[in-house]
Amino acid sequence: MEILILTVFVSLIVAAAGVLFFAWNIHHRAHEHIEQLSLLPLEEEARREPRKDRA
Amino acid sequence: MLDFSQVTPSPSKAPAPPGLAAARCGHCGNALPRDARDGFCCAGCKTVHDLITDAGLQRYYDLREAAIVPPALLAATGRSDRNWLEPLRERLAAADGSLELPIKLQGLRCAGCVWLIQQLFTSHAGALRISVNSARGSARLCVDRRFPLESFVSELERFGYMAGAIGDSEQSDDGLLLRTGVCLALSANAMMFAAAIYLGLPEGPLYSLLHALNFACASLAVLVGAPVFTSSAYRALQQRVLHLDLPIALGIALTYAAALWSFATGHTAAAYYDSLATFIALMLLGRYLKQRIVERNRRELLTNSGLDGLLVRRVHGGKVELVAATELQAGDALLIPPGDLVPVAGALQNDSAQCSLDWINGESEPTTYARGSVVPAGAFNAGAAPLQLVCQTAFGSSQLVELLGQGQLREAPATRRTHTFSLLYVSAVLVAGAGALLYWTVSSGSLTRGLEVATAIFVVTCPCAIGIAVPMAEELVLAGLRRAGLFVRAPSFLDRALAVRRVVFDKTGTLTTGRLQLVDSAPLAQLEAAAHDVLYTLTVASGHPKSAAVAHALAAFAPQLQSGLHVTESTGHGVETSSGGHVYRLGQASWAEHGAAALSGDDLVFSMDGVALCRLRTRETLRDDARAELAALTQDGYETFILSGDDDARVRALATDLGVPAERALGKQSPRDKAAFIARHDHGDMLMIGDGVNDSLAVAQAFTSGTPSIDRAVMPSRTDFYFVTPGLAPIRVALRAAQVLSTVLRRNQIFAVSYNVAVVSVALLGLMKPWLAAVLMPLSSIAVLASTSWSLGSRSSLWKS
Repeated sequence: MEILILTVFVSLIVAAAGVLFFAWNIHHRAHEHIEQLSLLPLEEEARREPRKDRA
Repeated sequence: MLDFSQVTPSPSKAPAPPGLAAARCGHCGNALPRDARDGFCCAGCKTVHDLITDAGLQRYYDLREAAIVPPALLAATGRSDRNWLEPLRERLAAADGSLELPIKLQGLRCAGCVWLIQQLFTSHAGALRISVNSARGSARLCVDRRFPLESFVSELERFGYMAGAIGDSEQSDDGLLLRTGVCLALSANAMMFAAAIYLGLPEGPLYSLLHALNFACASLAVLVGAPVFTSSAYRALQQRVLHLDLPIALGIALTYAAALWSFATGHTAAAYYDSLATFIALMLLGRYLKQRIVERNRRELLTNSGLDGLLVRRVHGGKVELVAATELQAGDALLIPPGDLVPVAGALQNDSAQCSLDWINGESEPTTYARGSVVPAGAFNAGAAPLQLVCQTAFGSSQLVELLGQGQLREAPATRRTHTFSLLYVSAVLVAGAGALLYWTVSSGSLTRGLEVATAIFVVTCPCAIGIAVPMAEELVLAGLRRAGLFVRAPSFLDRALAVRRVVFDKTGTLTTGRLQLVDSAPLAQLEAAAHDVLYTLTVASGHPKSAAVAHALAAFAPQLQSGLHVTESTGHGVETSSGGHVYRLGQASWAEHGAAALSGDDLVFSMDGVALCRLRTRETLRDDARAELAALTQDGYETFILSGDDDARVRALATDLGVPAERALGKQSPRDKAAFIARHDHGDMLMIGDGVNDSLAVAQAFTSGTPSIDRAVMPSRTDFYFVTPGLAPIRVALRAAQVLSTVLRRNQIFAVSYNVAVVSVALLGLMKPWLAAVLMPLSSIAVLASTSWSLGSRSSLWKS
């Protein structure tokens, strides 16, 4: 039974962290520029491509 | 010498971008008009497509997910107001190190737009970082003093995005989103804890822990979510209005009081903790949906700062200063750059000038003024040189004060169709709750039992059909209209559209595209290739609509731009150049052709050394689907009207062409005439569609209104919706969608009544249990939301017809 209580405690910590992350996102207005965030992988790609060329 | 870097590039070879159907414009994705060439709906889209491909930015078309973006506005390259840049330019010049500059952007649709703007930004010296906020339609540029701000703005405009100053009201409250997210998390956790208890967890330390956690989740949900409804219900009561938030607030208060009592005494019959948390989360979600999409539609356009935001260049003491138009006095000397608005009627100091009056009287052709004549307020400088004017009056007496006044959105405190139902719902729930309390207290002799049953009623009477389904249904319709190219700004529009029986159209820019086209391009085929090149060079160097019409028709002959030619413009006559020892002219016959009499105003002559090479005639371009749409509106039972400032004969001819009865087509209508017509004939059933500031009084007067004009913020700020398609089809789609929405909401109401009657009967009999409420309430919500989504979602038949 104690392990269940521990599991509940850990899950609550995870849920609280999720809520805090959500609040942080709203504070930084990340939800308003998701299009820009969705382009981040392309920036990685653009950085890698010149290295490929050199190789 | 004219600057060729700003003009349309030569017709190109670029293939249509991948991923778009053949019948769609290769740039904006709109349906192609009949006269489309090379797969583009207009010259603007073709220009922007060429710019994108020439700059190696084709990836834009791969990243873009929006089906329809506004057609590129060629006008933006020549008519945008840059006065708002002055304060930013001063900050940039004085910057020591990096600086953040916020700007408003119009035309952002998708990740492709964001990527394109990022690429354009980073190609400039001094560009450090850019943050593009597509939800708000704005960007923050982190730059140093080397950054060429004005060039960047010009570049954005060439690519079809309009830039402007950030308004004062750009910051909005995100508290509702935070509350909704937190309450959804609390609700999910409460349901998880409750599930263990409902599934038979035996009493013990874990049971007590989950019970306490369940109560804690409900308490936090009340703390975070309830103020939204209690404050709104309180405000409504102060105004003596029975609002839907009242039973929501009452239900929350009573259920939480019962939960407190249940937790304190260990009496589990009224322990509706998870139902309470879920109820609050769902109601907040509905409220958030209601706010979101209309706000987004409003933010898409540049801010209309009204009269206060209108800046002009005044010549004072030999220097040019930028001042607010409201400061202008009679006798002030003004400098009006090409493309800028004339704020006050002024006497012309130049020898001659061309001004476009389409904004104030609907005339599509520029008017020529001579020195000393008075250029009216509301005209635009359509020439290549700055106008010098002396104000005839102070700005307070300008007709623009009336026409440019800040628009007021028509907000309905509660939509009409839901208000009556909400009122009945509130009354029925209150009566049932009070009746149950009285009956069970008396019959069982226990106030506790009476409170248990009354609480059960408040918990299970789910207002989802109003609280969530209505906003969701409206969001689905508004999203569908966005896909069709129509953006609703006033929440009450869908209500108003139900009552519309008459649709009034402005002519120029509304039924027509505002552009000219050649009646017959056959004379161009007679010219040699070298003449095509010279003619093309002449046309692209002129901003005149007739030149644009010739340039558009010439595209079929693949002419080459002769960038070495020196082109001069003779105001009111035409354009001229010399090539190979010959003088070429394009313009009025009496000027271009030796010995020619002044022919009708629609004639153009292209001549060499005074000998006509070809004669051309232009006409206004009707929107491609105008005939079909007006016929369809008539077939659907709507009466159509045309009101225009243009010549009466031309308006009647157009009406005949469009199948509108002559008595419903009126020409020579001033802005006040149009407003008076609306006032006389509008019986709460009139939709006015107009594009110019000359329609601003009429659209404000009409029961509901829309505009296809988004190149300046004045009109959209006064109308209930705007549309960005080359055709008129979205208007009929919106009227039809409003009808379908009404049917779906009525069906939801019938469902809600049936559900509530059933569950209230169970509760009145004293048979409702917390676990049953926990199952029934979400089930009813899911059922009504699924049915709404089926009827109005993107795959519904509404959007396919």
